Parts: sequence; structure tokens; C-alpha cells
Amino acid sequence: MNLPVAWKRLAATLALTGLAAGCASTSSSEAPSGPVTVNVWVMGDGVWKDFYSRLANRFHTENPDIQVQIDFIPWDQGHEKLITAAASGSGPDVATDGGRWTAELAAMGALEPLDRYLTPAYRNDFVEAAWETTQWNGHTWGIPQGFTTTGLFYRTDWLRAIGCEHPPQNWQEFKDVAKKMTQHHHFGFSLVGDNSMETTMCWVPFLWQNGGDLLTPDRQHAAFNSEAGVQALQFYVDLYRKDHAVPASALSTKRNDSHQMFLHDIAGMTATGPWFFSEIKREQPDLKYAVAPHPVGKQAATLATTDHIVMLKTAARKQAAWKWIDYVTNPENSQAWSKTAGFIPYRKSGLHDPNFTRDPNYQVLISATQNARAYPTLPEWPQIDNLLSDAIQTALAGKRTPKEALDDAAQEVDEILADSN
Amino acid sequence: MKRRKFWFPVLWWASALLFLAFLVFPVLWMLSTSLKPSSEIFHTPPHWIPEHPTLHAFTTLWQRGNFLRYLTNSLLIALATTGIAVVVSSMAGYAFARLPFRGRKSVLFGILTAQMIPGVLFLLPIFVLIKQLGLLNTYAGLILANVAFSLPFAIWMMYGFYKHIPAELEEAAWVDGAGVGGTFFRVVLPMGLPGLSSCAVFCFLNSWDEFVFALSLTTGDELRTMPVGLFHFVGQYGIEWNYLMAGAVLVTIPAMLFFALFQKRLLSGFAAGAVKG
Amino acid sequence: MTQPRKLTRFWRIQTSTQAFLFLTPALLLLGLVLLYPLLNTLWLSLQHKVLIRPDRDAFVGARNYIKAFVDPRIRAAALHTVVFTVGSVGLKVVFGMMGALLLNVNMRGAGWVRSLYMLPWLVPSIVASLVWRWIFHDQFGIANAMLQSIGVPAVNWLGQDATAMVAVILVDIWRGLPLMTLLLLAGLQMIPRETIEAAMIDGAQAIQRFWRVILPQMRPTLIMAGTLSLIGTFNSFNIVYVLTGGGPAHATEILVTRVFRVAFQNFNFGYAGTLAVLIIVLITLLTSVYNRLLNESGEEVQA
Repeated sequence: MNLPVAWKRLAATLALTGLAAGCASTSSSEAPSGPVTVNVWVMGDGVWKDFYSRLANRFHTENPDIQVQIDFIPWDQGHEKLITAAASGSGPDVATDGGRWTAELAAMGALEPLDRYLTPAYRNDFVEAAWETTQWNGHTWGIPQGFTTTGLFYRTDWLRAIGCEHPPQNWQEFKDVAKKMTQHHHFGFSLVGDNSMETTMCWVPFLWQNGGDLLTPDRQHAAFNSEAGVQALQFYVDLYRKDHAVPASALSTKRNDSHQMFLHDIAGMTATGPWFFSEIKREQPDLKYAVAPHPVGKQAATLATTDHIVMLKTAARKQAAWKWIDYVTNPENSQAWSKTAGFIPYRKSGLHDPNFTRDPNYQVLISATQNARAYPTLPEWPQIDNLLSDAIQTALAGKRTPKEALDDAAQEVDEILADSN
Repeated sequence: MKRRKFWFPVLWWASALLFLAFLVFPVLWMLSTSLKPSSEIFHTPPHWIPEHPTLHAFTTLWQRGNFLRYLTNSLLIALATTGIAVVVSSMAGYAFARLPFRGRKSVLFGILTAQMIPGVLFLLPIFVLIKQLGLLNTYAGLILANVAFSLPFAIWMMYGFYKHIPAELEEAAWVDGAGVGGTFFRVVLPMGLPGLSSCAVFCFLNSWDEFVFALSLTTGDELRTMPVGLFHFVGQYGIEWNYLMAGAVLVTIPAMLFFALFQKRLLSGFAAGAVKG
Repeated sequence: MTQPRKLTRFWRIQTSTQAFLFLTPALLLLGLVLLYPLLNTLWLSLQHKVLIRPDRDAFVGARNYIKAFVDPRIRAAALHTVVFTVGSVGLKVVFGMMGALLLNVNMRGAGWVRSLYMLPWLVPSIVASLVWRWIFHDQFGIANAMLQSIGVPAVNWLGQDATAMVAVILVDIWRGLPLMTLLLLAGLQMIPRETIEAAMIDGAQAIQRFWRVILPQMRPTLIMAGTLSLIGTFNSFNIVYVLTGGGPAHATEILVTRVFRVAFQNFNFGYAGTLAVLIIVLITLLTSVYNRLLNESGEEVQA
């Protein structure tokens, strides 16, 4: 490193007292000759890494003037890294983000609206439920880079052993099956109750199935503490505390733990998405299982989650950055990605791909899109998400009744929403 | 001395084994899991001794991840941190022990307090600082943070150590015409060796253990250290415990080697530095 | 008499040149990486600064501090910190003392015992916590398997309040016992052998010897090692973060993990700064107690 520059920077740093100054510093660089570099953050390891490394190489072959430099960041760290980087101006040009963070980043002023790059044909090809999540405040802030619903994975052999013909179709049947499957070291359902956003993701379908909602239609207040919400949480808590149809460790169960319980004869049912298929194939290829839609309460509902690819406002080479986004999200690569990662197709042109439709289990998850809903896209969502998972945990732990827990959370959510106007 | 009764060794060994059972069993379980094939991990009840021991987890880890890279990163950062921190702290410790100057007491108290502050509390300001210095995603940035957070305790240790070395020897060397540098290098430094080695062990293990800076001051996996790499191993999907435990075994071995190297003088260094003050 | 004059010159040279020279690198580093962030945090603590709402940044004076004193989550975290710290340090001191007495004995094979004893210290705390998470695994962990093999029902270690706290304390003890024992052993070896032998000649039995001779002599060491460990444990972030993440339902949330959550989950850096400052004030108080103890033991930090 060039020492004088370092000293100058050091002096500048010492002079700073506020962080704000740190955010404002932008180094204007001369246009470099040679290939342009686009810095990209891809969230996720494993399949993500293999797929996107290869994609970046292919992209570079087709666009020799653009070099894509990818850093892979585990999902757990993604939110934290993106926000801190955005706030201090040290972010990448393009990043993957969980769709639930997009509005937050946009409200921070960290993202580049993408509307001007889009043609109507381009946007119309995306599945509506996926596309909606990219909209906030009248602009498009990201492009879907993965989309999925969840369903009920169940052990067919266990189901037969308790004398059931078909997977549970409504809440009552679900509860009965879960209770009947529970014997010896076996449990009916592996409930995710760890203190993380996964806990919210797993409970919210129950809220919707019971006719409840997360927020009021004007998005000014919490609505999850309605009668329907309280009932839905009560149902959840009863499975654990009253019927003991859920392993005792529910409060320290993450989604990956729940997968393992399903794979290794601990739990007979788990609610998760299509990425689980490849894990089953790898770990327990002989597992006898099938996928059913979530049991219906007052109505059918499932949660659709969408990952986005976004461009940061600080991106130096916006055209090149867009080229990469466009490449990643083109029909061919979107489809290949869905297949690799275990997502359902999110471009209409890919919906009838026999690779997906042939598999009845996959078909269940694709059909579920009809009843799928997404989290509200609003900047405060990540905070609401945390408060909800706290409430669910508190109720599961028996520290508060479902009503008390949800009321407490609702009060805080109301404050947050009021404060944001 | 009175002769020990015959039951003394029996009692001693019984209690020693009790202590070791608690202290060592997690490491044994780690080793045992790392030698199991994936199919055996989820056996209930689990067995201590793998039925089909295999190095599969180690070889997979080697091939798949960048674990060799993480290990090298950890080692590089820990060694550099140790080197710099030992030199800087022995100089400062010597100054505090020998050279009376104004405000020494307050500076020492400040350093003592600094030693107690966890890095987590300063994560954001340090992130911004490292960014301003242009050292995000560099070894230098991580080493800088690690050195700074190892220094207070190291200085304190070296200060205590030098204080207990009689000044007469230095004076004698000076009278013999050794000069300032000569006195330090020929007399002070050799006498400080036990202190230096316990200081080195401390700094090395401190850096080896460091997590939050390694997590926040780097982005990709080029500069990831072993603790961060293993932490991320518990990913979004399944946890492969045998691979994770293989990684845990790999990260423990270098620390053991380093410790073995300096173990002999560790105790006297601690005695002088930390306990006597 | 040339010698004293020469010596005076020696110390003068030492003072003038070396003090500055020798201290500069350390002070520069500490100033940059510790003092600057400290000042920055102080400044931050007086601001309303939530990263996700940059438009609302403002100077708010003591408002964050007032909030901290009435925040029920902080009160809960403080309580957990006390339980965790007192539990862990108390047991570390008791067992560390026993371990030090044990390791102080010269016996065939004692070298091996000493080396193995230090093993937990060599496992990075993050890794140690991951290993223990696997040990405590509800279904496949060895802890429950061992309990069940002696007829005790399985324990839901990390999934309920009390046992999660026990688990966190246990792991902290496991990691911290070697260092604690090492400090106490160092103190033990400073007790003059004659003192112990004198007591032996007086016919004091082992247990009496411990209470009457060793313990009083060890008092300063015990207090100092205890204080050091108190502060270290108080700040034990890694273990809690990885083992329980502060859960279940915040049951093991301690102050430092709370600060981390406020900062990196809510991105409320102003408030997190305030909490950090309060913790540092607390640490400074504890440190001054430690410093006084050092002084009382006759090793005063002289001006």
C-alpha cells in the first residue's frame, strides 16, 4: 500500500468525529482503461457459489470488457453486511438480497431504481407474486432472483402406519396426524421456534390460513393480534405445549435442524420449500415422503418468498452492472438457477418446463402459488419480523399467552409504523 | 518434608482424571464425530467410538471448502499479530517499568481499563476507521485490530515482568560501557524471555480466538479466518456435523503446537505479569 | 566516584529518549484503534442514528441514556449478565483453585495432566461453542445420551430458560477454567515453601493447611484473578452468540449480546453507542477496584 496515501487517510480519519462524514466520502476515480469491474455480492454458499462462479465466467467470455468480481456472503450475515456497507459507502455494485430487505434498503437511499432499464415485455414475463415484491414507493428496486412457496413434507410410511389414507388437509386433521405420529422418539411436526426470522416464516402461513393478516390494509397498524391471529398462535403453541407433538427443543430449532429431524426419523412432518429436495436426495435417498399443500384453516395460504438482485446507488458502472443483472435474470439463467437451487420457476416462460411439472412434489409447490402471499414490502418489515419472532418464541416458551405476546409486539409495531411517518 | 501417605497418589489421580474428564471429553467427542461417516452422525443413541472410522470428513473439507485458505489466514494473522504485539508491548512494558515520567499512573490505568473492553462494543467505529484507512478486506486491517486488542494485556504483563527484574544488572552493563541499545538487547531482552513467551502465547491465542473483527472487517471468503469459516458452516440448510467437527480438530492443532512450543516458560511469565501486577 | 555520576546519566538518557521512543508505537496503536473508537462511540451515544433512516439523524443529547435506564430489555439483560457472570466466575474460582492445588503437586505424569488441562483454552471460543452445541443437541447429542445411559431423562438443554443458562455457564467455565487455573497456580507458586513446610512441622493436616495457610496467602491472587475473570466473563460475547444467540426468548441475552442486537439487528447505532458507553463506565469502575486491589497487595502503580 502507498504510504503517503495511508497517512493522508489516517489524518482524515482522525479529524472525523461523526460517522456521517464517513458516509459522505466518495473517492472520485479516473476512468480506468481496460475491462470494467463490477463488484457483486452473492448471498449464500454451496450451490450459490458453484452456480454463480460459473455464470460469472461465462458472462466474462461473452462480455470481455466486463469483469465480474463476486464475494459470497452467507445468508445469516447478509442483512447486516448490506446495511452497514450501504451506510458507510463500502458496498458492492450489485447484490443479492432477501426480498424482505429491499424496501428497507430503498428507503435508506442505498438502491438504484431499475425502472429505466426495463421494457414492459421484460417485466411482464415475471410471475406476478414474485414481481410485486420488488415494488415500493412507485419504483422497481430489484429483479427476482429466486422465488418459492412452501408446503408440507410428510413421511408416507409413517402416515400409513397410523392408518391414514391421505395427508392432513385441514388444521384438525393436521393436529390429529401430528398427535398420532408422536410416540416413542417420534414426533408429528418439527416446529421452527429459534430466535430468527425463520420462526416468523414458518408461522405466518398459519396466521393467513386462519383469516388473519400481518398489518392493517393501510399499513399503519399491526393486525396480527386480531382474534384470528391469537387463535393461530394458540394452535401453534398447543401443538408444542399441550399435545407435545413437537420435539421439546422447538425453541432452539432452526430450519436446518427441522430438516434433520425429518431426515433422521425424529419428525414425521415439516413445512419447508423445494430446496429440501436435493438435500433429501443426497442424505436419505430412500426416504419415503411426499409433499402436500399446507393444511387449510379457514382458507388456503402459503408464504411466497422472493430473493432479489439489486443495484446499489453507489455503483460506479451502472450500465455494466445492469448487464450483469440482466444476464443473471434472463429466462435461461433464471430457469437454470431455479433448478439448481431448488426454487420454483419465476418467469412465466418457464412455468411449463417439464423438469418441474413432471415431478408431482414440485407440482404441489408450483400450484401453491395460487394461494401464496408475500410479506408486505415496507422498510420497517425487518424490524416487524424480529418482533414477531420474539412474540412467537415468548408464547411457545409459555412466558406470555399468545394474546399477550402478540399484543405486546403489536404495540411496538404500531410505534415503529407511527414513527416512520 | 513429610512422606506422603500411600493413598495420596490414588487420590491425586482420581481427582485429576475427574477434572480431565470434564475438560477433555468435548474434544474427544469432537474427534470422534470428525471420524464418523455421515450416516453414523445421526445414530441414536450415539456411540463414542466410530463403528466405521473414516477420514472422509477431513478429505471432503480439504477438497470442498477453502479451509486450507482459512487456516493459512488464521495462522498468518495470528503470527503477525503476535510478532508485532510482543515487540510493541515489551518496549512499552519496559518504559512503564523503568522510566518514570509524568502521567504514567493514569496512562497505565487507562491501559488496564482498555484491556477489559470487548471489541464487540466498538465494532462500527472500527469498521469505519478501517474503511477510512483503506484496509477493509486486507490482512493489515485485521492485524491492526487484533494487535490493538491484544496490546493492553500484553503491556500489562510485560510491565509486571520487567518490574521484577533487578535494575542493577542493567546498570552494571551500562557501567561496562554497553550503551543504551546494548543494554536493552543484551541484558533486558534475554532476561525478559519467560515474560515474552507467555506474552506470545497470550497474543497468539487471542488472535486465534478472534471472531467479531474477522467477521465484520472482511466480506468474501478470501480473508476468512478459521472461526468465521466454521461459523458459516452452520449454514442455511443442513449442518454436517462431521465436517464441522473435522474443521474444529484442524483449528485446534496449530494452537496446540504453538502452545507446546512456549509452554515451559508460560507459568513464570504469568506469575510475574498478571498476578503480581 | 565516577559510577554514580555515570548512572545518573544512564537514567537520564533512558528517560529522555527511550521513554518516548519506547512508548510511541503502543500509544499510537492504542490511540488509533481504541481511543478514537471510544470518542466516536461517546459522540454516537448522543445522537439519534439509525442506519436505515439516515434522514432522521439528529443530536439528541442525553435522550438515549434516559431510554437505557427505563428499557425493560436492558434490565432483563443486566439481570442475565449478573446471573451468568456470578455463576461462571464463582465456579471458575472454586474449581480453578482446586485445579491449581492439583497441578501444583509434583508427581509422575503430572506434566501430561497439566498439558491436557490447558486443552480448552486452545479451542477458539466460537469453535468450542459449536462443539458444545453439538454435545447439547436434543436428539443426537452426547450429553443426553450420557444422561440417559445412567437413567436420567433427556434434557432440553438449549430450548428452555434455566437449562440454556446452565449450558452457557458450563461452556464458559469449560473455556475459562484453564486460564483461571494458570493464574491461581502462578499465585500458588509464589507462596514461600517455608510457610507451608512450617505449618507441616506444626502438624497441620492437609485441610487445615489449606484453610489456615494457603488460602490467606492466596487471597490477593484470588481476588485479582476473580476480578480479571469477572470482566472477561461479563464480556463473553462469542459463547452466548453461537450457543444460544441470546435465546430461547431472550433468556440468555446478556448486555454485550444485547448491544450487538441493537446495533446489527435494529441498526440503532446511536442507542447501541449509549449502551456501549454505559458498559464501559461499568468496566472502568470494576477496573478501578481491581487496580486498588493490586495496590493493596503492595505492587502499587507508582507515579
